[in-house]
Amino acid sequence: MAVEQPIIFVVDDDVSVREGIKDLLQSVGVPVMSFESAQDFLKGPRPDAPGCIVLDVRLPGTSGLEFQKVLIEASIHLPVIFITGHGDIPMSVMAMKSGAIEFLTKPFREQSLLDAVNAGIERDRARREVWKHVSELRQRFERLTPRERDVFALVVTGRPNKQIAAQLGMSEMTVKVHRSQITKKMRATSIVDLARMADSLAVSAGKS
Amino acid sequence: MMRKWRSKYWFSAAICFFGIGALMALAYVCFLLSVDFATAGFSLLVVVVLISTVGSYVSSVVLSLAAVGCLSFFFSPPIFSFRVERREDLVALLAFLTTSIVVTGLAAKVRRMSEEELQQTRTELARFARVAILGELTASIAHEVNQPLAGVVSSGDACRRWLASEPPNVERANQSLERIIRDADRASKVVERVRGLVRNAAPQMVAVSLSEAIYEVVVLTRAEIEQNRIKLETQFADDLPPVRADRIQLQQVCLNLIVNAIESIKEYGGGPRELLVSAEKDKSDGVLLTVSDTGVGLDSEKMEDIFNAFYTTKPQGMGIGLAISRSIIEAHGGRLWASGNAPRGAKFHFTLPHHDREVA
Repeated sequence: MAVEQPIIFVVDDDVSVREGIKDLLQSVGVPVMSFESAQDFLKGPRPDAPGCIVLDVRLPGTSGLEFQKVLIEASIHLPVIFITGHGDIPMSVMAMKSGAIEFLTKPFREQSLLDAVNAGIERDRARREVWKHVSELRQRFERLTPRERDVFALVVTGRPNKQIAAQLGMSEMTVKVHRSQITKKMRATSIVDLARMADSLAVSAGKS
Repeated sequence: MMRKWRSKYWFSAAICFFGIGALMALAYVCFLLSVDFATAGFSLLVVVVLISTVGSYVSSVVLSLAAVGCLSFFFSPPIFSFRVERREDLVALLAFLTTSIVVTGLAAKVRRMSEEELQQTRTELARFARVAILGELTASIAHEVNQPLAGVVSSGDACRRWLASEPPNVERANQSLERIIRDADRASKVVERVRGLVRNAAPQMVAVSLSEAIYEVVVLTRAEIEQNRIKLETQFADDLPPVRADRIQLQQVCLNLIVNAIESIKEYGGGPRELLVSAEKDKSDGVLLTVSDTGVGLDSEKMEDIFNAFYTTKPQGMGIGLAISRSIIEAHGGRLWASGNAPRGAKFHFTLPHHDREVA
């Protein structure tokens, strides 16, 4: 499987910092897009690729921390690496709590930035994998008829066909037919596999 | 200069006029009391010496002649005539002239020395206030130096990687180096500006571009403005004439007004948090600068108090910033005053004359 090309978004209003980071990341072969402000970042189209955001805590207009919230609201789930001019401890605690990968104090050495960026890309890649898997499952699930969905819900709880038939007011034979249809449509290999799929779907449904 | 010279001339004339009157009156009184020549001469000498301390050389000579004239008219025979026959009269004339001229010279020297001292004290006080304000901006200035340095470090790391790649990417490495030089230059400019403000130099009146001078100090407050999430706007008219000013002192006044505005907005706490620095041409071809904020504002009865030395509304303030700012602007031939901002906050305005205008 080919590894998807990552992309890093740099958001900093200071031209020296922005271009320096962009240059450094490009020198290790990572594609970079840079933005002067949070608004610019939100405005423009972004490539759909695993990546992360390198974000200045102190942006004019929207602060970096506010921007982090905006991202979450806009369901942009890119991991965030904060950079700051001064080691502000309460701010870094808040940033880490809301899911930042790293909080770097300027000027920082390349290794700390590159490590953070790699961690960010990996985290995003994993998140995208899960998301891809779940959306595939959902697509399969949506192909089920309403009746099949009812049966599916009961099958994954481990109930025997007889009980399902009684509960849904149908013959045991019909349940069996639904069951094989469900397994085929969901491309499940076993009842355990099906249960696991139900879990993923429920988890993602609960999440959104 | 013209006005100064004319006012000096009239002052001298007035001193001569009143001096002669006083001498004549005194001589007449002495005559009525029929005191002797020596006593009358001594009384007149006292008057001449006193007047010489404030007058010029010309008025001293005129008054000496008048005093000797009075003496010879009333006390030296032949009485009621200005004829000088006795040697005493000539000696008196000599004594009056030397005493009054020496006293005038000494008085002028003392005045000049105390003026110089006052000027020096003022310069030192202004520098002290400048250093104090830079102290408040330490974090902001450090940030302003740190930003380009962060750029230098990142670009340096990038440059090394471009050169280490196989084959070395010299073009990109060069671009990194260009940026390193630019950023280092930016950091050194900030340091230079701060050093300029701290340096103990005598004021120099030159033609200054107000917008440039202000831009240089706004940079020093930028981080402070951003950290307090204040929206800074600058509006400079295109046709701004250069003003005649000492660049450093002018920057000091602007810095002081901007820092005050930031503190006022900080104190208010709520929004909107706006700071506007605008400059336009005023009626007399000079420049009118206004710093408006949306901070806590000023009580209308305190509009003038705030310019008094040691009057402060800030817990850590010394209350010298505005007093010094006003004295600086007035020494430049301008005016500095405060007013209210609508719907909230304060406005500070100052005017400065066009650089062609001489300061009266």
